[in-house]
Amino acid sequence: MAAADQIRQGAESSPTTERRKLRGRNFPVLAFIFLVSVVLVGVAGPLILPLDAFSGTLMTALKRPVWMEGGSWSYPLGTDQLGRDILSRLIVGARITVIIAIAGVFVSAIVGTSIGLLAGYLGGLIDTILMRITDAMLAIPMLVLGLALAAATGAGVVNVIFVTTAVTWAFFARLVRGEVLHIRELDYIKAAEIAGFPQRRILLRHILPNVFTPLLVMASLQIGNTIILASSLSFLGLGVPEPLPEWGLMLANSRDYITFAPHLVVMPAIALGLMVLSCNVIGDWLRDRFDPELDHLR
Amino acid sequence: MTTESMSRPLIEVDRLYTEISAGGRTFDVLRGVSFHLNVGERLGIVGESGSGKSMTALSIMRLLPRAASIRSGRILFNGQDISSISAQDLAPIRGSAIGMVFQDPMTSLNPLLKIERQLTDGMEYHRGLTHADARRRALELLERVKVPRAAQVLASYPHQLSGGMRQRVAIAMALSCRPKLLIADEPTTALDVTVQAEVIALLQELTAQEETSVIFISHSLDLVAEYCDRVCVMYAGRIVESASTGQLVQTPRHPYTNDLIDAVPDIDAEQITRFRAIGGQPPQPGALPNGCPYHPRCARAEGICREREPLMEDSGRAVACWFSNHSSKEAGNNVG
Repeated sequence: MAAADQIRQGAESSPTTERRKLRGRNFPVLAFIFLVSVVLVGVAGPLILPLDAFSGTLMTALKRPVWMEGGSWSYPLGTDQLGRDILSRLIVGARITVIIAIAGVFVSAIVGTSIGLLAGYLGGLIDTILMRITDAMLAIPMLVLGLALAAATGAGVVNVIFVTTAVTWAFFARLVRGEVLHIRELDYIKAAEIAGFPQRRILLRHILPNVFTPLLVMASLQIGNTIILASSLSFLGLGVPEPLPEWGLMLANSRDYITFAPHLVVMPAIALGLMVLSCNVIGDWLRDRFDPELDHLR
Repeated sequence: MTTESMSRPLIEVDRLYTEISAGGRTFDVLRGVSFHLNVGERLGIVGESGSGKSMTALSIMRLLPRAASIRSGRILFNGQDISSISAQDLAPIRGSAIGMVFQDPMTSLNPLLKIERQLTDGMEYHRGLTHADARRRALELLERVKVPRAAQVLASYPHQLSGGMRQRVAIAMALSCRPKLLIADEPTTALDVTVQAEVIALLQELTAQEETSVIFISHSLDLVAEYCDRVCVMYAGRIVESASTGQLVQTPRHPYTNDLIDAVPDIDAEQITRFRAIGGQPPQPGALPNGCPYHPRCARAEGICREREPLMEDSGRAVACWFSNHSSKEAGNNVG
């Protein structure tokens, strides 16, 4: 990728400072650390769980976090209305969120990229049909379409991944098609066609690797989108089902307590907010770094 | 190059019309292009931007942009019409019999693959060589195109090489499957002048060794005259004059050819004069003037030139001009 990057920038290297100016901000260390720790915590999950995330007693219900009056180190972030440890629930929730985000974006990228490659390379009627479908998908607000699909498929982690894929593949399809239209006119594709390689080989070997950079940027920006969509569905009761502590679901279940136990709402909200923010910051950085011209991905 | 093989045509283009549609309109960018190329012969196609010279090459290769298509005409390659055969049938012909060198070596190599992959892929695919054999042949090829430190270049990515090196690699790629026809579309335009001369010398040497026929496309009559056996001059989607290089340069018959020659500054001239540029712009395809398309820029245009388009008259010398009976150098005085 460094090679493609250098070529876009012009192979003659400019002074480092100039290049930094061109590429914008520095590497977002904080966002990166936060993301990595969420992923690690999500993966390690059960191994480091301080307490049971799924059961509690009413005796321990609605305890406050440790830094507030009446809090204790046994429940560092307090407990919810059923006495379950909030920290433990956030950790299990991190796992669900990470799985949905990565799987959702991955499947969506594969579906969208395949459609975009076919539409861009084959052109003609196939292109027209695929792109009109894509336009139609993009024209419907994400949440509305997601709600309709989620209502039809029912709750569940796999269903949420399906719904986020169905709602976001169009972004990838449109991006990839545009890139393919550009790349397929380049001489090295013509050279490969003259060399008599079959279309499949040209697509996979010469075109696909060259759309990888914008694809990566798009994927990192879509992670934040996917997390919000999944949490919104859960919040509305159409996403991840009880008793799984998905962050959006935690928000929904605790909103009745917002006046006298605000930490129930604040904790998952902070987790969710920081997660999405980190993904977007890293996505922005990737875009600036790899191609200052990719502004349309915003 | 025996006289016998020289006279056998490798490719014959017969009244080729290629059309392009843009903004709801369709017009011809090639208007009946005909020429032939014998085995081992080097044919130059010269013209300004938009004259149809690249379209001719792309039509032969069937690499036309989406908006363009061949409307009619035949392209016989070794006697087989390749203007209308299916992509499946065309693939082996393209892969093993035709090679192409492009204008810009920046974009003619895939930036993400090492030179080794790009050179060996075709040989492994079409000639069934093992990777080791293909690699050995790739090294040989790089040495033949005079790339220094060939082994190191094989392990490089395109961006690590200079423009001249990349173009040599591109030539090696085009020649890797021993094509019978090499199409070079302005292969030196993006290079430094010193590198240009080297690349031309290289092409000359390599194609002579293997008896490869060459279609050399350029806007520079100078380069073409240096390298080619025969030259076709194109204007507004037609060939307006076609002759052997010597005849064309010494006694141009078409006023356009004459103007092109005059537009080349003569570095050896005793007396330094301003070189003569051709006034005006070449016509846009789809907005051709009535009559001869060159008449608005032609110093010798008369009534008939504005009314009827002269057709290619093939009596020894092929020229499309109403006044082609006279060499235009003399005709300028006699007729004008």
